[in-house]
Amino acid sequence: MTDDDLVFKALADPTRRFLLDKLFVRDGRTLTELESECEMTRFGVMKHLRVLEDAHLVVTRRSGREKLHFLNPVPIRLIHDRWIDKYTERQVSALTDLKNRLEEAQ
Amino acid sequence: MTNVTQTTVTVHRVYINAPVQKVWDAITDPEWNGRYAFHAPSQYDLRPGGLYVVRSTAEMQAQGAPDPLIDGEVLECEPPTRLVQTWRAFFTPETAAEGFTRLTWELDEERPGLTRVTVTHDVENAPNVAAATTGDAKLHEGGGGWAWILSDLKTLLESGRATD
Repeated sequence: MTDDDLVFKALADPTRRFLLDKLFVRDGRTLTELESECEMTRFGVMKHLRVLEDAHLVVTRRSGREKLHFLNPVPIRLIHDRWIDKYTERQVSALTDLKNRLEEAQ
Repeated sequence: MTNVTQTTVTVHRVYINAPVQKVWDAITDPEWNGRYAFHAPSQYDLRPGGLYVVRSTAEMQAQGAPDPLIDGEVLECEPPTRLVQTWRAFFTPETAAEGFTRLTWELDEERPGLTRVTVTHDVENAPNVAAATTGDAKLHEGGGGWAWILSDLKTLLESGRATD
């Protein structure tokens, strides 16, 4: 699998997107913290984190005895630069602006 | 007991198909580091205590960018794999007021010709710097952050051409 394939595969799962969103809100979390936010076993969360790590969307660092998980947005940026920029940036941003405005208006 | 670890560090990582020395040069040599991302050359005096300064380009200044744009000091330097420095951004009065943050560059050879670059930015007590470097603003507003810089560094080294 190419790097892009690993990123798309990692993003194609709601639990993994949920984990990324959690790290986006607050970065550098332990497995225990992330597990407490998921309705899933520790082993299940570990498996999902492993897929995210393989796609380089999550980077781990040791801090004392803890292993902290950080969101690494670079692979998403690479896909953005490779795909979105090339074809559709203007249209996409117009549509996301519209979506944001409509949702704010609710 | 709560089990919450507060952290104020961001980590950005990219894998580049280029030898470690070449990636090191692209980060530390103004001949190279002015050719991608913001196109603003970074000057490094590569020894502990050495100065670091990023000058804004004439084009950026015409749009109101300050000069210098960023400054700091080299704390540790082990070419071509490790560089620790301070980093103060003059992007806005708010980022300037937050003072010096700490930045660590780590270059690891995954295998010959493939380099793993990890940028660890300690932004404790610097929320404006954190916002500016995590790329939540649009590119034309000076945003893009580390993700954009590393993406463009990769593009330049792998294709010979960065974004305009």
